[in-house]
Amino acid sequence: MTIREIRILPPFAIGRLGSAEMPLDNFTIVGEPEKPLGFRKIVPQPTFLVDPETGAIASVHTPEKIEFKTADGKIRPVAPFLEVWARVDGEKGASASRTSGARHDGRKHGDFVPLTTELLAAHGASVKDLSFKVQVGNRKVERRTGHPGDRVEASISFSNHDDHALHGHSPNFLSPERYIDFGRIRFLKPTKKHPEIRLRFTPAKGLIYGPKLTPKEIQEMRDADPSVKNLHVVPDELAVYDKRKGWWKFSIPPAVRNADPSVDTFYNETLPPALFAIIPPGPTWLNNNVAVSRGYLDDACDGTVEVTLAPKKGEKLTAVGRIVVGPPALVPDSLFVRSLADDLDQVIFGPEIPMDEPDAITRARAEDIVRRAFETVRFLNVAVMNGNPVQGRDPLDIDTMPAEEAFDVYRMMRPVFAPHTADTLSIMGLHQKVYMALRAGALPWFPRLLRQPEEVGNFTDGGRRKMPALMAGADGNYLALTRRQIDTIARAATRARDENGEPQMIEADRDPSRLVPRNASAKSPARRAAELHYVAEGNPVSSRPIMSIGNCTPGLEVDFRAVWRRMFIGIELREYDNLVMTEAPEHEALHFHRLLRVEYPGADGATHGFDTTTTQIGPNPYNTATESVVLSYEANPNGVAPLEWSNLLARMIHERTGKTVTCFFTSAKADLDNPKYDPKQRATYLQRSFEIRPFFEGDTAVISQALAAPGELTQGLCSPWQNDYRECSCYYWAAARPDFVNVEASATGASVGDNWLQKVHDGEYVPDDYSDARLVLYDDLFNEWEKWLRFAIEGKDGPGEVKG
Amino acid sequence: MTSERTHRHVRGAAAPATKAAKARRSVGALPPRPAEMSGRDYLIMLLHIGAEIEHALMIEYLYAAYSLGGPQVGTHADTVHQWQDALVTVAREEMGHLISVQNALLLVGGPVSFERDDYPWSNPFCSFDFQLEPLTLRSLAKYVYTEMPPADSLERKADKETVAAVEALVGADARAPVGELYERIIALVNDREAVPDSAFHAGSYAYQMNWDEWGRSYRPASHKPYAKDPDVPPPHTRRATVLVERCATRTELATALSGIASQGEAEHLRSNAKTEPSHFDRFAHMFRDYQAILADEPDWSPSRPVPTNPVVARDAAYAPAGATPITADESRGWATLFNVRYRMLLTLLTSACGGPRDAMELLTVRRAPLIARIFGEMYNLKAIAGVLVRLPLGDPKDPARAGAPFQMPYTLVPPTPEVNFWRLQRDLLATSEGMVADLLARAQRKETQVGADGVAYLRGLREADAASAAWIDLVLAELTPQGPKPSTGRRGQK
Repeated sequence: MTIREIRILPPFAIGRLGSAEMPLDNFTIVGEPEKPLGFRKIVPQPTFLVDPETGAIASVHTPEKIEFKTADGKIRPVAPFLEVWARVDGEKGASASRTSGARHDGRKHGDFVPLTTELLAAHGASVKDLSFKVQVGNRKVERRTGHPGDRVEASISFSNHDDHALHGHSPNFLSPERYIDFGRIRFLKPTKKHPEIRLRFTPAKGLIYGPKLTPKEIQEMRDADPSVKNLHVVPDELAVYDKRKGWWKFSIPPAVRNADPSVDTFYNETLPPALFAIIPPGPTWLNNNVAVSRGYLDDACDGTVEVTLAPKKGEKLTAVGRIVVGPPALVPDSLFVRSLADDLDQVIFGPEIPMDEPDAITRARAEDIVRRAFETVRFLNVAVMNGNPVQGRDPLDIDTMPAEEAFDVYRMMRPVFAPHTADTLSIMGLHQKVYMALRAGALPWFPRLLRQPEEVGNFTDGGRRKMPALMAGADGNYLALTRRQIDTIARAATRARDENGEPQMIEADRDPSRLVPRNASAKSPARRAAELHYVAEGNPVSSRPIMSIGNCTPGLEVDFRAVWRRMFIGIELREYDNLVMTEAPEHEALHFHRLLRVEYPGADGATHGFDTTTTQIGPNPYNTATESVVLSYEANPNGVAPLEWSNLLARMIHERTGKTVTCFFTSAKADLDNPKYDPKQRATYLQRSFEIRPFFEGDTAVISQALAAPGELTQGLCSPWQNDYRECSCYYWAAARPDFVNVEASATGASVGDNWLQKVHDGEYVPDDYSDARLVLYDDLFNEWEKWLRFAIEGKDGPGEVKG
Repeated sequence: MTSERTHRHVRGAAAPATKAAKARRSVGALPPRPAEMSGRDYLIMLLHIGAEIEHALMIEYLYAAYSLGGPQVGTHADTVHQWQDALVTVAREEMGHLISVQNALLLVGGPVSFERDDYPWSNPFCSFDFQLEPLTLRSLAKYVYTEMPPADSLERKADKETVAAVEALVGADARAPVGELYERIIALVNDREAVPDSAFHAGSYAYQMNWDEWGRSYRPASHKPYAKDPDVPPPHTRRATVLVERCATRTELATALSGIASQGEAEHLRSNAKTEPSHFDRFAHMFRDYQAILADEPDWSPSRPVPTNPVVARDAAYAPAGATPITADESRGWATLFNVRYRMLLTLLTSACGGPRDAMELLTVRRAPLIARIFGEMYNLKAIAGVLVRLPLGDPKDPARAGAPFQMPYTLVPPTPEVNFWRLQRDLLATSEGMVADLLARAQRKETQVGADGVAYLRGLREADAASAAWIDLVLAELTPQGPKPSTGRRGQK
């Protein structure tokens, strides 16, 4: 028999930071049939205990309960396992696969089976023929400064069972000996009981690195804002960065405009800008947009794991998987309305539901979206997010979408919904009743209430009230579901309930055997999805994309906006708008021009096309015919808003991968006008054809390495990541990061509870305020993030969490 | 029943269902103002009748919508789904009318009203007897008739032919259309002698129901500011699909009532891609579709075999004349549950619209849960109605299915003070809880015709109600200094 191909499953594994010695035990979450509206139940799963000496799995146990934090307050890291799978053929191969599969609970993916020592032997190989290469990077600082020297990278090759440290080095560190500890990777030693080939990645502790400063420099920082009593000081052992290299005190002059050719120096800012630890006072937007860097780096990273099987005889085979590192999933018993899994599924299956999908499945997925919607509402302080005054304070001072609008597009601050109807438990209860009606067999009656991806810049009353409401999407405007999610609900609305069919349920962890048809071809989308969502033995649900944020501005686990930049082969776009940043020599003329429109011939012979921007509109009391006005202003005279790539490109990727499309670019380099596509100007645009890059590697579910090199999937995230819990635009994310906890009803009808980031959880809500010491502020997180980032279980502070 | 008593004032002059009456379209065909009533008093009574009719139409359309479906629709499933959507859309708009009429009542100082009679019930101001029935060509003809504009305003040949066919089918039974009631009301509103300026309480505007609370985004979107004709409709057509009109003056009231009256018939909304089609448009279109299908398949039915005027009763002896008892045990359990939730909805609505008048700040207290509960109960009714049409009416072997009974409670007069209103809600929850427990126990014993989805729904309802009950207990504790009264128990309506 012959091993024809190998794969690493899962192809995308999320590690999560924590300083506890023991990684988090394995768990999944399931809905409770008796309590369909309740929290998902955390169910411990078989957990591997790895012998630190030998690197072998010493035992398997299923814990009674899951302990997210240790008794001494340390968070247990999520350390995912990566399994190697093989496709075999030949007469013996088939039986060997069966044997192998049977021994391991019949686990199969189409014709792939777990690679074991037995299978290797049948192939005439052994573990000695296996080798591994791991490359991870942290490019957050490079993304801000634009200096390649600020890139931090770790690369290691090995074939033994040692626990290999991933030391990230950078030319701008004080010396080649200084490094950031990105964690460890280990090829587990196969045993008779556990003969599978697997690795384990253990992420870092969540430490903050930075420059080595003098006492005087530290004092100067303290003096900058004496109200910060606990200014974080990077300990000597973590002071790795050479402060002369630019990151320490890095700053972008506030008056400089992005992509403005009229200024001498171009600053390729992130969106939102800054996104790094600054010398007080913070935040920047309340302090004249002054952002001077403290020079911090973190130990998060992303990258690839490569396995090579090189038997003495036979073909050399390789496979790649991806690992990323994010903060803990702090709401481990809930799923949110748009996750990374939704975006990846959209790439795999396309933006529309196939006509032949069984109705029961479509209905179940529609119900799942509504279920996740009420799980999302549950953690939002709806009254606050609605833009209501909080305890009499000006809602403009509180970080919400209506306030963001006022700052971004100059729409007057006004609550989104009628203020006295905006309440968490009331609105959640309403969503729950929608869910129940669907469960009872009612068809979704609300497709028209869903926000379309092109409507994210509609700030009229009607536009703002579309669903999902009060939250931001990847483009910083109002969140829309993925096109595929929208189509799921629309399709379910037209499909009568199957009178004889059994209703289906979608759980967090899918059973791959039910999703992959036996005869699924290598290119089958269902097979690719099954690989993507594969539940590797020992891996908790929080290691999978379903628990990663999908509406990224920038994100928590990854800045998923970064993945689309090189979809057009030959150019690279900025992650959040349509500006050409780098390009192949033949496209040099496009440098800093803006991509305005894409066209291609559709299967129906007609030309399909889409603009890359939408127009921001707001209410207009004067024009009673249209009731709207373009929200334009000096900095954005056309009221243009770039659209997020995930939804924008979904149909094109589905229809044109590997084929060409025609792109239209501005004739002038990016200018102040933020132009939008104008058919009358079509002849003046630069027109080029580009091939669309495959999103995944070959037939696998591994995100193309050409789309994102190690470090690039996390480069847009905050540096350090702790900033993400305080920075703008994260207050209203649907993510495993709660906003409103310990919520209870009150007799007045207003839900009461705690701002998750207030230090004392006493039920007295503390409005967001960047200088109120009752809240967890920047330095609290830099100093004691594991103390202040509290897990919420069933909506309440988890066992052992500090109350304040 | 309020509406029965209302009839005392109109019955004597009720227009007979004769050919002469068919030639209607004249306000004179309606009963005159009784001598015993002042102009304002009469206006309030007519508004009550308007509310009753809007309520009745809404229920009829919903019942027809819920009846649609089943395996017999065959290849016309998509068409039937579109009809269902159209019926629900019109019902939703009737709900907007109902709320708007409450605003009118508040403006002229009348009590709000969600009352209506149970069937069979007739009213000289209503085109047909109120009747819950599955959608048939005949019942659809009645809806077309009810919503149709004056014949001389019809322009399209297809519409004229449809109206002729409808008249032939149901014209002999028809009385004055709803539009005539509104004509009478508007004439009265504009009659400064009959209804003096002092009758209008502009201050009520602040606590009238508004679109932000009740519209649920059911309105055409704003147009793009750079849109040009013909993409942009003229300003006078820029109206919500779900009308929730507030008014502070006599003129605004007349305008609001015209808007309500014309939504079904409004010519300027017809076939306009920029706005929603009129009620008449929707129903006439359905009627033509239906006719075309019957031409090929004369025995075809879009509806499940659901009853006319279903009621909860052990047998026919307990059912009023013209009603159909739901006799299967389990179906009756679900139907009773439906009635309890319907009562919850109506009492919540009455409270939300009637609310405190003396202190504005009180209007916002408990408002969010009140509004959420109202819409939540609408979703509950939708869910339970969907289950009922799949359950047997009597003998399980019989193809006849049950249906949502929509039976009215004995009263909707809100108990006062507020604590008693919440006691009532708590009682209704307890009653519902008992029924849910019984239905779940039946499922546990596998004595159920309901599938897994119905059971999942009951579990969810139980969970949601437990949270609601806990909250109401908090409210009762606050409103009752000595603490909450003990619950009346979970066995309410056995």
